[in-house]
Amino acid sequence: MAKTSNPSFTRSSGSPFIRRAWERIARVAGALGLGLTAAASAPAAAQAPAQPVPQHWISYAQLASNQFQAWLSDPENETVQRLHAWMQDRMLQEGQAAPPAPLIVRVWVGEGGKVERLEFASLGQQQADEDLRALLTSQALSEPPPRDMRQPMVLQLELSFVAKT
Amino acid sequence: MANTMRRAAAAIAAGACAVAMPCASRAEPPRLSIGADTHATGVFLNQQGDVLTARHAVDHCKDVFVVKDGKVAQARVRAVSNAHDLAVLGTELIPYLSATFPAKAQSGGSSMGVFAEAYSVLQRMPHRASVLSNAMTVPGGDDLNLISGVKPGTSGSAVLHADGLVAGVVVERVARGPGAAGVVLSRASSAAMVSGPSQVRAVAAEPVKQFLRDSGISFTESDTPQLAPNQSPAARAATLAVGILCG
Repeated sequence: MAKTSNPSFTRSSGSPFIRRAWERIARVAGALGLGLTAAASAPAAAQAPAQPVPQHWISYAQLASNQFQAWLSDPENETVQRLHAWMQDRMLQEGQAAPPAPLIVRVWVGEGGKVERLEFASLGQQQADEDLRALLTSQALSEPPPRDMRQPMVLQLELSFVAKT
Repeated sequence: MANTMRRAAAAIAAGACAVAMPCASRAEPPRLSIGADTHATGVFLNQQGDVLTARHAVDHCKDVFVVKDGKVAQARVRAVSNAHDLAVLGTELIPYLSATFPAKAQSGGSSMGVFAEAYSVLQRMPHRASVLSNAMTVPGGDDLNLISGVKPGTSGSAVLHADGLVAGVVVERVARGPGAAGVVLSRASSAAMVSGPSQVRAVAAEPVKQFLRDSGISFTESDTPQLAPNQSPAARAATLAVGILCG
């Protein structure tokens, strides 16, 4: 497991950021369904040892998750603006104060890094579903997936709002 | 924020307008085309957006800007090592991934294939995902020396092992003759264009890590491979790399 150097005299925002980053990795690895944290408190003899998730799978899932997140929060992208405007309207109509629940997506990535297949629960409006699909499939990820990585990846994404300037 | 971005746009206008950007004033944050040349290269260190680069690439800049996927952001110098020619820039960029350094010191006993390349070259490298190495390490010495064909703009690039761990950071092309000065590999600093493979000096991971610890900059270290065998370090280098612009 990687060790993150986090000197005690680093700026105050360091620790939470790093903690969040590793929590995200744990979430992603968990979503891959390979028992990264299995049996932490169970008797050792009671269960077979969990198959560890290869680090290069975790790295790639983190890369994909972060790159999707960047695409979904690009304030200059008209599709992002429309999707977020729809979400804001829906929240207002439904009287929600909290941000929307994280979005779970199942992703199959091709050899060129393009998303070839994408599954997610409908957001409740056809245009919003199309926008989300377009945002996650119109560009290639910066790297192709490891050849040995099981697919689909199951990723948890957040639809953070675009700040109006 | 708007003022900062206007200053960024103005500062890069001379270098970037002709190459990539419409020169009319723009309201939105400046962008640079993927293929545009940058002054030097950096590597993301952590999720806060700190970027490691070569000190000489930024130390005479009035303003420093970083470029990632065409987006330009202003940077500030957070830490400098004169001894090792390193600098850390604070940025508002959010990396997709950040560097992982080897936890244990690497032995330099034998030559091995590694990858190091300039940000601007990486952005337009054909078949990047199939490139496994473009340089060889030279055994011996305290520094990490490479035989490489890298060109100006590579200063500050990460040297990646095949397993994706960062072995060092490129700082200069080593002089060929006795007593001759080395040639730094940032564009503005290069006295002469260089071509063909030659010896390149990088600061090895251990002194880089010590500098980061001393400066209170967070980073990740591990001996676990970050890439599978035959997974491309060139593609990972492109993910980790940041372009540096001097304003």
